Amino acid sequence: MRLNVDGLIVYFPYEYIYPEQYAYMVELKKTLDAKGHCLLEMPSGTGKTTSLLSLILAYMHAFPSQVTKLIYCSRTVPEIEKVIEELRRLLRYYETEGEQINILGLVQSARKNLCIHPKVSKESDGWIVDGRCHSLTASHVRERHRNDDQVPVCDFFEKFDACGKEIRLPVDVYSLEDLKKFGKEHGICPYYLARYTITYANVVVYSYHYLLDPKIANVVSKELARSSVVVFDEAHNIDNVCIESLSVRLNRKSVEKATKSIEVLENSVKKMKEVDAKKLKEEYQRLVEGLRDANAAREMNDILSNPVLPNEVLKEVVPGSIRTAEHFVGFLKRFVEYIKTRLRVQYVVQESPASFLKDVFQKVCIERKPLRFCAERLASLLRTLEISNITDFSALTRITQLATLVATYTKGFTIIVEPFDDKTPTVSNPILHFTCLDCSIAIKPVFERFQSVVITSGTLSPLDMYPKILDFHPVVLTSFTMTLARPCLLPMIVSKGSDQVAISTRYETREDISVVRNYGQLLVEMASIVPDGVVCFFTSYLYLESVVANWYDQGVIDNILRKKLLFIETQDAAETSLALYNYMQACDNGRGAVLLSVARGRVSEGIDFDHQYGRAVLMFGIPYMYTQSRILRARLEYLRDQFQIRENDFLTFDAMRHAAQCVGRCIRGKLDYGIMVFADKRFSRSDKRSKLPKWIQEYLTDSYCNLSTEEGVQIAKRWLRQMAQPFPREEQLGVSLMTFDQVEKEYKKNNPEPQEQDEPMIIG
Amino acid sequence: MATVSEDVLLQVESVRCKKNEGTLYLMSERIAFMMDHRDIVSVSHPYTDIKQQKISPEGKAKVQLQLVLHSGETTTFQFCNSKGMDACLADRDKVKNLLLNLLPKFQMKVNKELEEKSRLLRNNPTLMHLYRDLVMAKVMTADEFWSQHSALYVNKQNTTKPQAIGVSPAFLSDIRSETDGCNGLKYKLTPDVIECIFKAYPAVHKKYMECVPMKVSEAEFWTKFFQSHYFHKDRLHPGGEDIFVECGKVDEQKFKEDLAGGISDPTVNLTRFDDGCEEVVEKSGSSSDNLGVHKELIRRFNQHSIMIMKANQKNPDPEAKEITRSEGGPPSTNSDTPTKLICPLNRGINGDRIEYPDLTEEKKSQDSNITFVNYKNVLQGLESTSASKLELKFKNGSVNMHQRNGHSIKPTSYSRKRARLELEKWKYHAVPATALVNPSSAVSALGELTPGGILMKGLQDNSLEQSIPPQIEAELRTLTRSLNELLRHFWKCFPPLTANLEQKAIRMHEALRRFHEVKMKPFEEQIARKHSPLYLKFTRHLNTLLEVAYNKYITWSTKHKVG
Repeated sequence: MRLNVDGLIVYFPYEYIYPEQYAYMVELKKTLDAKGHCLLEMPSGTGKTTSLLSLILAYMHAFPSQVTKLIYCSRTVPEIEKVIEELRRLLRYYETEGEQINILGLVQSARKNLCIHPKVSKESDGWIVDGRCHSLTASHVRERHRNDDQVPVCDFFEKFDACGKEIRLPVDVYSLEDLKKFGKEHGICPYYLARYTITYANVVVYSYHYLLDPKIANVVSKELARSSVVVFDEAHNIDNVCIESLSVRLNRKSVEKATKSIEVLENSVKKMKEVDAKKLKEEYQRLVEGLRDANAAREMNDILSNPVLPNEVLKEVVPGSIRTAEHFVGFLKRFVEYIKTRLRVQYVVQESPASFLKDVFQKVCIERKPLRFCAERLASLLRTLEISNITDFSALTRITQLATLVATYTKGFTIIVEPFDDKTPTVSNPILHFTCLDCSIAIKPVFERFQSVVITSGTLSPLDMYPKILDFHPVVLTSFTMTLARPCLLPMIVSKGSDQVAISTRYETREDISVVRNYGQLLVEMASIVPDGVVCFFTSYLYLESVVANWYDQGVIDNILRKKLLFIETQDAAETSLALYNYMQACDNGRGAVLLSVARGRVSEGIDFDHQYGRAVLMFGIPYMYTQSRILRARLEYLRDQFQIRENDFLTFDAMRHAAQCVGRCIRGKLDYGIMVFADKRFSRSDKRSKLPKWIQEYLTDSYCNLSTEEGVQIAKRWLRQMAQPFPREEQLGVSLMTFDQVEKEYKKNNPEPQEQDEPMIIG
Repeated sequence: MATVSEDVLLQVESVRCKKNEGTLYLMSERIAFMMDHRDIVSVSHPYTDIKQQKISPEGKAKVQLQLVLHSGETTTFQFCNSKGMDACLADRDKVKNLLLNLLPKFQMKVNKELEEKSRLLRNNPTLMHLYRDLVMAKVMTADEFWSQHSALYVNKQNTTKPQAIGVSPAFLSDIRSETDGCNGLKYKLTPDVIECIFKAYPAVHKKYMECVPMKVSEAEFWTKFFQSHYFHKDRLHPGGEDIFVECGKVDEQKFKEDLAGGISDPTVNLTRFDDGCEEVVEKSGSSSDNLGVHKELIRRFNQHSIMIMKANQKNPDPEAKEITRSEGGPPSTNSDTPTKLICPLNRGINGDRIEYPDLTEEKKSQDSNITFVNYKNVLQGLESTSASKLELKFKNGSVNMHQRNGHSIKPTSYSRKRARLELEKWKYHAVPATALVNPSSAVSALGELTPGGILMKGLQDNSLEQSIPPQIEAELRTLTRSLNELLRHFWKCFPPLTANLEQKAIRMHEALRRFHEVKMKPFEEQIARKHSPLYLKFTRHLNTLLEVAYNKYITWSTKHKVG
């Protein structure tokens, strides 16, 4: 239908629309008009993606000069594919309406998902594919190939390099498969084609990392236009992604690897010096020029800035101590040796970057300035030395990144050296954590660079937290609820077992036999009344393991097995996938199954349990972070000092967003229905309850709090019966679903006099 | 005479049976006895009824031949040829030898029938109960039972193959262990459980084939099974001499193969979720072999569930397979071999799948709904007149139905497909039925009627229902079922338009009376005596049913007599 959203004609590819979708579009339009950033929370399963795409595309269509590009970031590959399908649907709708819109949309993904090379694409590990691709496409390899046909190269890349820039992708939507197909038809490497195409495509869909991880953003996303709209979907975890992208972890193994890499470097430098000393000199020259170029570009605002390439580096000259390749290798050697000594500790050390730098200077006489150039210098050297397999140098690259970051940022980072793992205090396994504490550092360039950034998810409550920790000022900050014609979600807080013993995963009671038994009983009772799939989330793998062992001894497992099959998430991704696959099948064929899973695990973050795959979700306990972790402690301290966020507030915020994320998995649409059981006494406290998303809170009335297992089961039983009834569209219409006429009426009500003068401009 | 059409193979005169002298006829299918100077056959046994014959020992005064029937009855014939003892013996031997020849032929037939029947009873517990209640309690004869009441089951038996039993997830935990009193454990294994074990764990089946009975006895095999890690999932390292170690390894191997094979469904394949942007992940040295106890346990649970799923996939319904093949469509979930995991879940990402079905316009399907000519008939039960009308309306469907039932026409895949399509389109299309309650109000009413609802306040009765001992409940259930079966046949006779039906009505009425005497009353007495007289109210409904039937019969019979 063609909607009028605040004067903008929006093509919406469905015949009906949810009221919240309409409201969402209105807010989104405000953001785009103001060229600002926004934070929008909308329940899962109410069609965020479609609304986003419809409005932004309509905006691009109406104001082609103001918004030129949509960059849509999502988390997982299936989600990215879903977005592309939605886009395809939207464009088909434009077609059927006879409206001309030239939109080129595509997916950008890693090589392992796009490679069509007959041998390389068979590899399953991403980094192997990357490495092998590199060894076939590096410039010196190709040069050698020109002299010697025996040196293998990738034909697809050769073809791309020869004529890829002339072959433009026809205007359409390209999913991973489409890109591969196109690549195969034309004999062109789809990966490089996509990388080239995103510079001029209208819609780019890719993973967060391409924008937030400086290592990749530098390669892929740096030339994207300022007039782009960036969307971070499923962004409830964005702070952690930011932090991870700037954190470095080193252990003994990686240091050893780095040492070996340095040896390789040393030898290559020696060899090169004998063969071609001139080249090395050129290399230095190039380095200086390259930085000058980057500086010029940044001043002209052409590219996305890179946190690993700080401004100082661009403006200053490369210090003399690392100018020549030999000196630099020696410099690296000293630094790696230093790290090695730091790993030789018996007790935990925590220090700030400043004191780390001081220590470096005292011990190995390395100053701050050359350290800052480390990453860039190594990259340049590797280019010159024509070392093709970059993966061998990953450890060394990481160390140079650490060096650059530590020398650049004195605030927002911390260094923690732990001599052993907390779980195994007797085994010496020293790890150096260089941790980013401030998630705003990584995302800052994005906010600065692009005119509108949309952060959206089903669970962003409490909303005011994100602007604080990401350090930005949204123009719109809204949470939408879900209009429902029938209460299709049933949240409840079960706080005690049938024997009235309080259930909780508080540290003191979590291993209590009666608590574990009550959790088991709750699950058994639920499994016997709920059809098809039941998903349970535990607070950690450790707890899951101990509970399962306990249940096995208590016979709870047998009772579950009498009702449904049992699948359990493990730390091994492949094993979990297999279990999940079978879980889904068991749900499909009506046998029903129980899936035990872990909050913050892969399942909780990526798998949807819509319809029969999840009729009930049980959240056993509050998924707090592991509070003894020193990294977390440091981060909490930082948050307290810098943003005045109290430790408890942040911990609860984080726990509740994960809990909400877990239970939200089971609702994926208004026709869907699911039970959400929060099984912990502490959930009923108002400080926890109030942090749940509004759309869940709305249905969590007082009568559903503080229940015992029996009461919960009774309520669920009655509710399930109600849900099993036919649900005709007529009941939805006007309440949770609107026709075109109803939307029009709504619009007229809000805007008594439609602005006539706007009309011609829009249509033109 | 009944014997007219039959060949008389042997005729022996002057035979005594039940103190009457007469003639013994051995005919092609039965043995008969006719008293002298009478026209009626007084004793007649089909050979099929005869279990065996016995003869009196030599040297006894009386020369006799006894026939033992399957029902346990016996009939004795005394040979008293006036020519003397030898002649008597000769007569008897003639009969004996002939019977000796004849009986095995019939016995084979009988055995087959009997076997068939007992198999039926074995396979259908409900039928078994009915049999027990109706035949063993002498409410009706076995013949009557088989001809009248078992039709449903017999037909079912013929048309469909017995359904393979699925594998229950809890089959291992359902094996209850009991202490045998001297510090040991006893496990009870049923054939069903064994079948489940074999289905879910093919490796154990293989081992069983290899070892039993050559190497170990069956009992020993299962003892070892219970000692092995299969049964004790939390055991890490089973002893080296355990024969199941190998099975465990085979399973582990299979599991690893599956893992290596990966999952083609992109929506659940977690390994492919990340966009491969992270650096080289250092593989922590934990190979899957040295997991902790808990991890091992979790893995076993996953394995167990996956193997059960596989066991179900392995024997797909052959018919289902046929359909999918003939249609050439995508393979269905069931018939797919486990190695070929071609995205069978209907959540694959493709353009056709609509994320939000409620946002799109419903496609107006052009299927023909069934419209009932007279919906009251549907609500109240069909009468013979309207049934034919309905038949017409169903035309398409019913034609196919006939094809299915008729054995002569082999159902082609086409017609099966048609029928299926037809069935998919079937929708209950209520004629503006004011009499029916709409679903939501039905649910709310139900809700109020469940414990905790408004209408259930202060009602204590339900507690009684809940406290009924399971044994009585089960008994009550079979009783109800048997009575319903009888009543069904009873009511079927009405209106008794033909003489046959009349007779049947009389017979059924008698059967009901007998049932009342033999089954209902003792049951009522028993529960009143052993438990509480309060429970008697549970039989109230059955009594009402009986009463209504009796009344009907009485009115009919009085009318009938008058008429």
